[in-house]
Amino acid sequence: MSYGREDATIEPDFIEADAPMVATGVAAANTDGTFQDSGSRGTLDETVLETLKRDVVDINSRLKQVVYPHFPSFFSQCSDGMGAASDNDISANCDLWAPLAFIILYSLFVSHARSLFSSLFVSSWFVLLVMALHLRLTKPHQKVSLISYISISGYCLFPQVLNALLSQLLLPLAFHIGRENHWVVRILSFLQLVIMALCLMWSVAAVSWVTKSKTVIEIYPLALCFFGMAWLSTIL
Amino acid sequence: MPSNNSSFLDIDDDLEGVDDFDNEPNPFDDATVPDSPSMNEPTMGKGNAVHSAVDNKGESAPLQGQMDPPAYDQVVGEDASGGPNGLRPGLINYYSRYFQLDPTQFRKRLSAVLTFRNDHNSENANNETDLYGAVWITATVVMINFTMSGGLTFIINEVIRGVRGDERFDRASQFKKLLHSIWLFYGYTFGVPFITLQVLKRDEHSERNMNFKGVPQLISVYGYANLIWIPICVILNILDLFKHLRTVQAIQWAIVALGWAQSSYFLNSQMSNNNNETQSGGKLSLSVIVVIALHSLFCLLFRFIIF
Repeated sequence: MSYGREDATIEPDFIEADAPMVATGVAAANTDGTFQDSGSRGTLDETVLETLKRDVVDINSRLKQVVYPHFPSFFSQCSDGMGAASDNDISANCDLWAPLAFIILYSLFVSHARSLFSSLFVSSWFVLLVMALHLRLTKPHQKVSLISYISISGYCLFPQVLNALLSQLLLPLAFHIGRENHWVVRILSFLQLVIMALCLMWSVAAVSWVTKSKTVIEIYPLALCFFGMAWLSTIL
Repeated sequence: MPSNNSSFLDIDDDLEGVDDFDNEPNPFDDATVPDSPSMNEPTMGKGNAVHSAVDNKGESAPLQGQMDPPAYDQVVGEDASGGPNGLRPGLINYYSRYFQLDPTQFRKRLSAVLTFRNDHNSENANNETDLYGAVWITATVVMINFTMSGGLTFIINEVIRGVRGDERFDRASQFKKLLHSIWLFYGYTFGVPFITLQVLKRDEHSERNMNFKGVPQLISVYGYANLIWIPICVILNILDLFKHLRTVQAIQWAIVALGWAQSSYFLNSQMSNNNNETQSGGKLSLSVIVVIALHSLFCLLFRFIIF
């Protein structure tokens, strides 16, 4: 008769068995949605311009989720729930288009299309790989693959592209105008450093937000990698 | 008879008496078995509906019913962390255990390097080896060597003096410095421990060879020993601006010697954890000599190649 008391302990078992079922239901619905998304892509009967435009819009919408909201403004406006949602989104459908585009632009700006381009291109990919490996190694419990981490950190390269554009193309134009004036040179050099710092903070904030890195242990290596790239674009 | 009684599944043995009582089915089973289908039914139905939406296979529902109790995603997570011994060394998850550490622990280790404390190492050296410090402390040293001289020149020339030149600093020397730092520091941190481990294994005179079971542990020690090169590289890079002065070169030598002394002391204290008899005995064992000789070689290379 003492067995009768065990009913109370058994029941939660069945209820628990119910819970993952619901979770898989949600996941299944999610994957269904993404399948439909990717199904609408890649149609052959459209012009190249349309395809390119769709890719650019795609990249831009992803940037809107991850990178744009984290411009260093010293106040945080994003909630955790939204972070989780877009993180799911990003790890579900990652692409290497944006990292490729950003790295090409970055190395083009920094190298001025000289022979340095190839080494910058390769080393940028290497830096992305190192960052992805670091994220993968410090977070073994998150089910995000190496490629998605490469994609995520590639998206967070966007501020570095801006940095390279500003400090390698636009500021040198100003330098040409005011080359002789010491004060112009001082102000512009200082501006270069400020832009570098801002873009570095932007990148680091974005990547630490999207990968949910909170401790120094997780953020510092990412910041070091981004610092290397920002430094190259400032000083070369 | 006894064999009949012991088996649970026999329903009736045509004998009356107390035995029949024993053969009565378990009330526990009674309570659960008829219940379970009725309780599973709604979940099965849900699973069926969901899976028919994804793929219209009839087998998916019973499969789902069998697989759901272990909560399969938890099993995967435990596989990555709980059973690292089951993972092969080729997998990324195998190495991820060397990168799991929390900030307080990390800070404690860093301060232990700088303050010559090695008392609490012996007990957690076995299970808490990390390669994080070895990789990223070394990366910091390399990054300082790469960026600092160029950065200082940039700030002095352009921000303070306001002079802009096209060939501001010799980039070639900067990149040479980067490459040399990479091979020297990473080669030393990740290559030399293999040699040291062999020496420690063959050294019968000291007890220290019991402390190290694998190369990762030694790599970790060598990596943390690199911590002293962070401030030293900062100072050397600043002094490098006044390289033409003879006194400055002497100061640079002195600072490198200081770094050599600190890091070799740290290496030795780590390798002979708590047994002071090797030091107090007065005889230097072979492993100490080899470790210090390799470290001196490394410091000389550092001084001559990078600065």
